[in-house]
Amino acid sequence: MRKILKQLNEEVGVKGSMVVGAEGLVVMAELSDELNDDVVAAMASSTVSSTRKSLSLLGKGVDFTRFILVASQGRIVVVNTEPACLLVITDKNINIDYTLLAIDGAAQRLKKVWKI
Amino acid sequence: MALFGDRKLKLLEDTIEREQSPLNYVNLIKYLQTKGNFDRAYGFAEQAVKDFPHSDELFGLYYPLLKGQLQPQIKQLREAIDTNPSVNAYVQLAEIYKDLREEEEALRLCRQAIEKFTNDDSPYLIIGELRLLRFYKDLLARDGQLARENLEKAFEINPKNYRALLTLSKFYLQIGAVTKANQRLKDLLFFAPEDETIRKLLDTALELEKPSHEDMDILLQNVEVSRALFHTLPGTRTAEQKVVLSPEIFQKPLESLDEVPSIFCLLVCDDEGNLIAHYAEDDVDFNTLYEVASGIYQTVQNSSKKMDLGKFQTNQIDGPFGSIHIVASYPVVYIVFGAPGVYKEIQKFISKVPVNSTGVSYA
Repeated sequence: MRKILKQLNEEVGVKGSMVVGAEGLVVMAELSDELNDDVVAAMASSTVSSTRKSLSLLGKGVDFTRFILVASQGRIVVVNTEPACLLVITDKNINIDYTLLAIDGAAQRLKKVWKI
Repeated sequence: MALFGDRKLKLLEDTIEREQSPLNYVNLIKYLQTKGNFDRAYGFAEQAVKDFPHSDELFGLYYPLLKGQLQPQIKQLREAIDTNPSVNAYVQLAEIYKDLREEEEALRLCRQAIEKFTNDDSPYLIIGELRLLRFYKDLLARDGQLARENLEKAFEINPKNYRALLTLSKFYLQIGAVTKANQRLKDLLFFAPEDETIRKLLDTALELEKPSHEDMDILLQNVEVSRALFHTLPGTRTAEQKVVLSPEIFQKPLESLDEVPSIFCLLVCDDEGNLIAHYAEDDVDFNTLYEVASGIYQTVQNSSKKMDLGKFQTNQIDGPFGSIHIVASYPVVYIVFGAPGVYKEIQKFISKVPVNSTGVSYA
């Protein structure tokens, strides 16, 4: 799992990635030095669990497949790889389509890890 | 073609002469770019951003053109960093990226400079200025805090850093830390006693009514919550202030959504998430959707802030329910429930709303 995150972090503009478990707990994180590990981990888990909580109002078991947040200084992409989520933090100035391909690839590899 | 000249270019130039508008500039600049005439495109872009300093679209065209103009300098400085690294080369390059609004690259260069030349004040100054740009743009307390830390560090390393002291003084004045501003202005006067700018700022500090306390964290929080500086000095561009939006201005564009089958529900909110107007198909439970949307909006606002990503702009959530898009076009926030790939329709809708980015209705 760590290898997948490390590989993903080598993509242009990716500042860090982590796996967040079903309960919102951070399973593994690979973040660049510029990110504050504790804050980012706490907020990542809160983002995923709060979003799920809001979506649950749409019906039992309703969940997201992908979540992309864009802010003035960066982005967060979360891909649901059931049972856990892959969360990636990137720069704002990236070719998002290209990075999404890399993120989706990593998500697919993570899904295989779960199956094992 | 050459015999008759470029008619389209002539037409676009004539249009600019008749009516200078962001759209006319955009058309001309884009046309020149497609023709590979980057120098002329840059010339017009430079003029355009001076004439329309609030047009994001023009700045979006201007910065890449400016980067093209600065390419020889960038190349030279990169080579200098590779062959004979000096703090000056790092800082000059960081300044260029700062001017190009490529903040991440500027910050990266400053961090590298700090690693290599720990006792130099310049990289701290640039990081401080970058954070300050963010602070004045988004009015988030954390940016102000980091700007202050870095500028104070620059001052600590070099107590005669005029730029750091002046920037700090203005920052303190504008957030209401009047005593601290006075202190820094006096530090400046010590080695620049005749400086007229400092004298004027000192006069301003004397005229300002002091707030009841000067706790830095509280002052910055006040700015973030009120979305306004304690005092705005001339030349400081800040985030827009609160405006009252009238639901009527959204009515016509909302009615047009009947013809857009990919949008099930569209909520128009203010930037605090309060509902102003909405559109929902007949079989849609819009109250539940508003509840879902409010929760998500609070979450993404919070995440952007706490994860130091700056001001929230957009959010897209895909799932078996379709797509949820939240688009901030401050002071308005649009929340859309629709089919996947609905983003273009949202942009079309937003362009129909007669509100500009400062909340003023065109109607």
